[in-house]
Amino acid sequence: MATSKKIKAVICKCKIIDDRVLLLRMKPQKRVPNFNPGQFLHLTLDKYDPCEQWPESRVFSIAISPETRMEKIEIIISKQGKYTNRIFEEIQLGREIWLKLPYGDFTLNDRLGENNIFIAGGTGISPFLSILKSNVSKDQKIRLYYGIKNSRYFVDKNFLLDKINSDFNFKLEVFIENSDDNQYLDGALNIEYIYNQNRTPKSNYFISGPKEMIDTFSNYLLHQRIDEERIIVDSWD
Amino acid sequence: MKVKKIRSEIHDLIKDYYKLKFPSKEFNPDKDIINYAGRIFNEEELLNLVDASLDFWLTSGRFTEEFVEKLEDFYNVENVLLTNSGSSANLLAITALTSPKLANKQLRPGDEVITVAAGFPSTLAPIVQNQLIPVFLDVKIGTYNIIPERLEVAISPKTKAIFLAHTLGNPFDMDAVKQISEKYDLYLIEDNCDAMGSTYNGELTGTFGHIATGSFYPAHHITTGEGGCVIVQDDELAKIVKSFRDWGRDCYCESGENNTCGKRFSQQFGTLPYGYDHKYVYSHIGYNLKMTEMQAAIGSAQMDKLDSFNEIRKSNFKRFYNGLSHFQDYLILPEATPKSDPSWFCFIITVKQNDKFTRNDLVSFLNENRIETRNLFAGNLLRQPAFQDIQHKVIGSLDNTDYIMNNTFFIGTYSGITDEKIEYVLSKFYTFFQEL
Repeated sequence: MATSKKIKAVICKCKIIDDRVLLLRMKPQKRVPNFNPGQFLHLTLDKYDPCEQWPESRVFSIAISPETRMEKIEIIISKQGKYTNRIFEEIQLGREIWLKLPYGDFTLNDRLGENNIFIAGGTGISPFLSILKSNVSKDQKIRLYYGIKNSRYFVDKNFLLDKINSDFNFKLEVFIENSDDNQYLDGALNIEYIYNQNRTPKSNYFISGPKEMIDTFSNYLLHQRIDEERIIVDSWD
Repeated sequence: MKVKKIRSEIHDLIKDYYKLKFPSKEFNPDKDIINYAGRIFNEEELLNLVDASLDFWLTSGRFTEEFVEKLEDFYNVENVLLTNSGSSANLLAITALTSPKLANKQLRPGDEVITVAAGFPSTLAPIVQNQLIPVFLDVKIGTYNIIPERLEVAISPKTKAIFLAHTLGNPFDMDAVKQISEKYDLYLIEDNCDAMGSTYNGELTGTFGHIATGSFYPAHHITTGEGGCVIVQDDELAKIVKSFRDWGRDCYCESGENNTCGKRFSQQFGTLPYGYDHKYVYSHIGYNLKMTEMQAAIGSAQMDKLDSFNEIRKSNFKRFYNGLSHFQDYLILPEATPKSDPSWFCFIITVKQNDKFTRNDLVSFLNENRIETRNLFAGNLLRQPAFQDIQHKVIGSLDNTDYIMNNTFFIGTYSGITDEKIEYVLSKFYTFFQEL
C-alpha cells in the first residue's frame, strides 16, 4: 500500500442509523494517500501531537472510492466496546479528529475471478462499498450478499439499488433477520444458500463481517473443497 | 507552556549561534580549498535537528513523515522509504526483487542483471551479494551512460533486470532502456543517487523504473549526513522493500505503534503457533536499514532548498562549460543525453589522447592549486580488487570504461561553488594550458 500518513480531518456528516450504527463522513485537511478499495484506516478521538506517540485508535474499513478521497472519507461504525461507545458519545459536526491510513490487504488487486461473491455481514459492507464505488469493480461479475438485522441498517441503499439497474454484471441479495418486506430474504445470511447459488468452480469468495460469521462461512466453503486461495476474508482481532 | 517557552528560547539561540558559527566567508584564492561537493545549509537545518533532539523520539517520527511527504510530493509518487544510506537503498532495491512473494518474477541466484562497470560499487555490490550475475555493457564517453544500442545483445533467457545509475546526474537514454525492459519484461531499477532533480522528457529521473534509489550523503544534491531513499511505484513491491528494510518482518507498524493491522494476535504464519505476536513474524531475511529522526529532520529542511540547489548546479555547469570550451582540442566536455535536463552532480572532463599531458598531470596541477577533483568513482569496477573474481559477463568490450578509468575526472558544480570560485578554477585551467 502507499506509505501510510497521519491526517487531520473534520467531521462534516454524522448519520446515526440507530443507537448501534452510525455513518461518519470526514473532510481531510491535507492530501490523502491513495489507497486500494477494501483497505482500512485508524481513527483516534484523542488529540494527536506529532511530537508524541500515536494515541489509542480503532480500525475501520474505508467505505468510499479512492477516487473521491480528497473530498471526503467515510466509514461505518458499529458499537462494539468501550472505544466505539466513546465515538458515539463524543462525535459531533465540526470536530477535528486524526486518521492514519491506508492499511490492509483485503483488496481485489489480482484476485478477481470469473465469478466474485461478496458476502457482507452488517458493517462488513464497508470495504465492498469502496470496491463497488471504484473503478476496480468495473466490468467485473459480482454478486453481493448483504446480511443485516433490520432494514434500518441497509447502508447506502440508493447506491446499491442504482447499481443493480446500471450494471448488469452486478447482482444483490439482501438478507434481513427481521423483515416483513418481500423485496428481501428473511433471515440471516445463509452460506449454504450462497454456495448453492454459485457452484461454478472458479468462484472467488470475499467475506467481511463479524469474526464468527467469517470463521463459520470460511470453514463451510473449505469443507465444500473450495480452494483456500479463493476465500479472501477481512478479519480483525 | 513553560516547555514551549524554553523551546522558543532555544530556537532564538540557535539562530544567533548559526550567525556566529557559520558566517558567510569571502573566498580567499590563496588559501581556500574548492571542494567538489559539500553540505549547504542555514539555521533551518540546525533548528530542525535540535527540535528532533528535543522531541527525543530518536527513531522515525514527525520529521520522518514530513521528509517522506516532501519527497513523495517532489517525485509525485505514493511510496518513498527512507534508509540509512544510498548504498543501503541500492541493496534494498535489488534484494527486494528476490522476495518469494514475487512468485515467478522473483530474482533467483544465477539470474542476470544488466549494468555498467563505470560507476560506484554500491550499484554492483547488491547484484553480487544476491548471487545474481552482472552483465556489463560499455558506456559512451561524453554522456558516461550505457550505450543503448548494445542492450538487446546483452539479453539472454536469464536476464531479469536492468540496474543503471544516471551517471553523475546525466540521465541514461530512458526511451531505449525502457523499451528493452518492457519488451523483455525486465525489472528496471534506477540508481538516482547522483541525479536528484534531473529530468528526461520533462519527467524526473527516479520515476521511470519499478524502483529507484536516492542518496543524501553530503556530496549529493541534498544531505542528511548519511541517508538515502527507495522510491517504489507498486504498493505491493513497496511493502516488500519495507519488510527487507525493517528486519524482514511482516509487521508494518511504525516505530512505537502496535496492532496497526488490527490482527496482531489472530494470524498463523509458517509453523508458528496460531496468534503468535505479528510484531515478531519475519517473512524475509532482512536488515535494519532505517533512517533516524535526526537525519530526517535535516532532510526535511534541505528539501525546501532543493530547487535552488539544482538551479545553481545547472548554472555552474554552464559557466564551466563555456569557460572550458576553449580547450576542446584536449578535453572532452560532458554532454547531456538527448531529451534530458541534468541536474549535474559535477562537471566531468575526459582528457583526449595527446603527447603533452595526462589526466593525472592535470589533476595534480588542480589539486596543487586547491581545486578538489575526483575520478569517475571506481573507474572500471571489474579492475577493483573487490570485484576481480566475481562471476560476470561482459558484452563486447569495455574499452570506453577503461579509457574513462585512465583519463576522466570531475570537478564540482554544487551550490557552494560561487562565481568567484568558478573564475578561479577557470583561471587555473587557463594557466595549465598556457604552460603546456
